Amino acid sequence: MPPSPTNGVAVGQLAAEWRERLRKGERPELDDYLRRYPELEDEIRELFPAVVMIEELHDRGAQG
Amino acid sequence: MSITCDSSQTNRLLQRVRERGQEAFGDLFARHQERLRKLVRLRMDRRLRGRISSSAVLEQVRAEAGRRLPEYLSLVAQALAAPPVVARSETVPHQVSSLFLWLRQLTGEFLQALHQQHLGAQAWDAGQELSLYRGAMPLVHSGTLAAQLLGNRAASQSAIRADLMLRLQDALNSMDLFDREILALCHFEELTEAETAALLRIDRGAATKHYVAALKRLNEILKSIPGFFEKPDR
Repeated sequence: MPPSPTNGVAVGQLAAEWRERLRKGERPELDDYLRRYPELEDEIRELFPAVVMIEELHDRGAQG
Repeated sequence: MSITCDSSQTNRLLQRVRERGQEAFGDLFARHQERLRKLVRLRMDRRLRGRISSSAVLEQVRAEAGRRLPEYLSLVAQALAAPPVVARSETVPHQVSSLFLWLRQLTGEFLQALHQQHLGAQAWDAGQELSLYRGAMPLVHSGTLAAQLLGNRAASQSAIRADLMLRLQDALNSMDLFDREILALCHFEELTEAETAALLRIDRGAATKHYVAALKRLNEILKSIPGFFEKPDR
């Protein structure tokens, strides 16, 4: 059942899934999520790139 | 990854430790070591990093955890013996019975003691561990968080990097402490939703909402910093 768009839980759960997939070395497609959850388009577009950026950066930053 | 409140897993753990002692525990510790290392890098005071390595900290934590293992096993046994209404709760039993969260707590206590020993009253967050965590756990310094977020940006341009660092740190200081911590847990310590919720003693839905709100706030902050989204040096 698709997550409800009525609160932050739905997009948060998707962001957590997105984060886990990135950590596993997968390259999930933003468009795939937009197709599956059109009702969350604005939040996905706003938040998912930020998740990618943080995940890409933090391990390098941790070495400093 | 973590040992959950599951009797078969617990029995296997008990059995292995009974048969092989510290060697078995060493294997279990190794499963969680890299995430604990992330915690140490994130939360150890910057003034100590040149003097004490994360490996040295983890070695001490491993030894301490080995000594206190019976304490952990006793906590698990109590959780398993609790009435079902408590044992099935999403929060407290998970924290009690998750080996990773127990090790994480020991690591936090060790770091806190290290800060007190080496920095005394200069420990930046002395008295600030507040009610966020159940026990001692140094909070993430905004400077450390800024360094993590900057990554390699402007690495070859020290003046620009220093300016970005200051702006970012100032902006992060304006964030709610809880928001900073939940981002640190989810991204920099790589905790799962369930672990984050258990640690903060809130349900998973609330943890997810807090995470989204914190991520939105951070995103706004990063967008407000001129030059932050320019292509980083590689």
